[in-house]
Amino acid sequence: MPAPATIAPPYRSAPAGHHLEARLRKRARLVLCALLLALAVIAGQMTRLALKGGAELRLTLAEPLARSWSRPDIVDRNGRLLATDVGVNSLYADPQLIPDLDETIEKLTAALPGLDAAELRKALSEKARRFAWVARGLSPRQAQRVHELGLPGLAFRTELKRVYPLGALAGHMLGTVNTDNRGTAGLERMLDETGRVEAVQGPGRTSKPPLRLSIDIGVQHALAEELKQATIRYAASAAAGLVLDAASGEVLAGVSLPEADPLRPAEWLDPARTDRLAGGVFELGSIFKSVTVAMALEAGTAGLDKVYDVRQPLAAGPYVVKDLHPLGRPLTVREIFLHSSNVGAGMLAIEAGAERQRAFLDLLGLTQPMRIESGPVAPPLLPKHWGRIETITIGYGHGLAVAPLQFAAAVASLVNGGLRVVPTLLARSGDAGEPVRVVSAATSAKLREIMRLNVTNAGGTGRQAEAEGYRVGGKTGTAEMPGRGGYQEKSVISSFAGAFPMDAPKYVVLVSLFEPQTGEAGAGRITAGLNAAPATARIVERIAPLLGLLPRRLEARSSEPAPFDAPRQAQ
Amino acid sequence: MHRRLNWLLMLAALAAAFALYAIKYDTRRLEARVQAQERALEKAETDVTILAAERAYLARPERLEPLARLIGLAPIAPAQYLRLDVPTPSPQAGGEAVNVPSPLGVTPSPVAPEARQQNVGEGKGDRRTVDVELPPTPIPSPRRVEDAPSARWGGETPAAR
Repeated sequence: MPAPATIAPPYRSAPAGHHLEARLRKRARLVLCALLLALAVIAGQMTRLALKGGAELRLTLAEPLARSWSRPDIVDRNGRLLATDVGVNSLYADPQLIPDLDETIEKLTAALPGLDAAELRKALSEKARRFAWVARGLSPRQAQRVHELGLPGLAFRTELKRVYPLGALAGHMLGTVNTDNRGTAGLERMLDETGRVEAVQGPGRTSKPPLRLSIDIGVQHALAEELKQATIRYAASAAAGLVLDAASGEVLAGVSLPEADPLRPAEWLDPARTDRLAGGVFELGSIFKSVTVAMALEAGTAGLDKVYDVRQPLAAGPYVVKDLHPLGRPLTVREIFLHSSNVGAGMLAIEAGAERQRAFLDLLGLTQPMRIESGPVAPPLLPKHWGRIETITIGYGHGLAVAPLQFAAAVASLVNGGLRVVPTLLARSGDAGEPVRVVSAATSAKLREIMRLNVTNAGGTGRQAEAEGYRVGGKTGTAEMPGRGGYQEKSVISSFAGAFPMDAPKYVVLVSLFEPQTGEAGAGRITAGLNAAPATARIVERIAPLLGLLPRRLEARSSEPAPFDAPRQAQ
Repeated sequence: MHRRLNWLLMLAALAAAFALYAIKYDTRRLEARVQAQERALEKAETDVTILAAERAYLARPERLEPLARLIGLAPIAPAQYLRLDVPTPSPQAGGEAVNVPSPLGVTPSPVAPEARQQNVGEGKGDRRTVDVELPPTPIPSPRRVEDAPSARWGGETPAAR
């Protein structure tokens, strides 16, 4: 390095006078200033970047990720998982990069037994293509196995896939998603419609809180299991069951058999698998008499002890309404309910009148279309003309078709003290607002009395619904299904609509068996008292402990028993 | 004066270069660590969801029910509830057998005696019992109140509230 002193600054030895020196100095200072300014700008910019943090400047190496949709988990009321997203590995190939097609196919089919070798060969033979799916949605274990093969030309993409750990349990409510992980039916669709689904690159998890349902997995399973056994025992073609919180309207369990698996959307097109709770309307038959009696009580046209002469068949235009097993004597309203007299129910309806009947059904919400979170409920089918015949038939549950879910909500409103119940599939956090009264507390109490009597009384149709200690009450109904050439005697929907414990109903339970061939009393005895009622008893006995209800041993003795873990008081 | 200043500045520049290099190197290492951590976090999150799904799959009632029935469990029958209200001495005549009243006031096992059972796990402190031949629904036959006069079943005592 040369010594700096050997080079004299030019301006020192410049022969020109002070004039030039001053000019040069000025110029040098100008250059220096400009340089300093430039440096200051650079320093300022660096400081700014250092302070701001280089978040937006950081480059991340993006893996080949597929764009997919991240969905919040769905859990039951106790937080047990019903649906979640998992990142799955999807295997794809670049056919140009595969050196040995035979070896690749051989090894792949060995590692993934489900693979179709012929199809794979066809896909991988197209050298013009740079991308071909080999297998989508592999489990981590399968992916590892393929990875260990070390085959060139193969790579993974991470995709999100919706999984339903509990299989078809509650499948009708959950709905389905498509291959892009977007909801196409049920609650899954609701998640999309309410904007709770996020677009993500890769396996990113949504930050959205899980969707908490009102259903209880334990109750749901017990109901499904008992209904399955009932369909076998009574040779029914299908069944539907519902457990509803009588006060809040939360659906604790809702089953429609045969079930529909969320992972097999193709199955959903099968009409046999329609959701019979909310997706179909039925003439539910005699269980409607609870509504008719409540209407008569509420309107004041009848008391429980008012006597009606039901010996004569009721003429309604060209039709004649008869009782199946007439007792041959006049019946009180109580007895009409107990013996499920069609003539009696028709007379009650006629006495109240078509207008009052219509208004009462409106009040209960049985005539308007209803919506729940998983979608619209099948709208009720009303008669075109509401005349004398229709008034009579609706009095005993024909001529008006409603979805069982909608009917169960009406029953809940009638027995819970008279406050309107709106069914929901989501766990209710607080109060659902000001309760709307539909019937008086007195009417509700009377209805509870006769519903319980229908199970305890030796002459009641619901005797077999008695679940020891849980005080079930309700109404049976055997409705002939409409078919070719009118109603079919052998093809019925036998139902039980009731509640428990009946002195202060907590839960409403509705059980419908479709086309049962037998009953408890043998083949051909298909009335609801012999199949739907005992099925209800089994269901209640099984779910009541899960719902935290204590059986009461001797009903007449005392009031509500304290919970077993309640602090004991000194006596 | 100028020379010394230049030397100093040069040294400072060199030192700054080294420091900058060191810091940059450190930063790069830290960034790599952050990325590794982030990747680990992402992997852990994915693992958690997979494990949660697997756990839910293993705990599905459809699978648990047969297993529970296999070890002799069944839904609670109404007769299996007891109340633990008052420890009552047995009113049995000649109560020789009941010297010390059970704190439960009842004989503890609600399982019907006729249920065929076999002790397993001998040598251990606890006695697990397992049904040998499993009836389809091994619900113990309900005991009647009159069968067990010492029992204080739910609802029989005045409400404790």
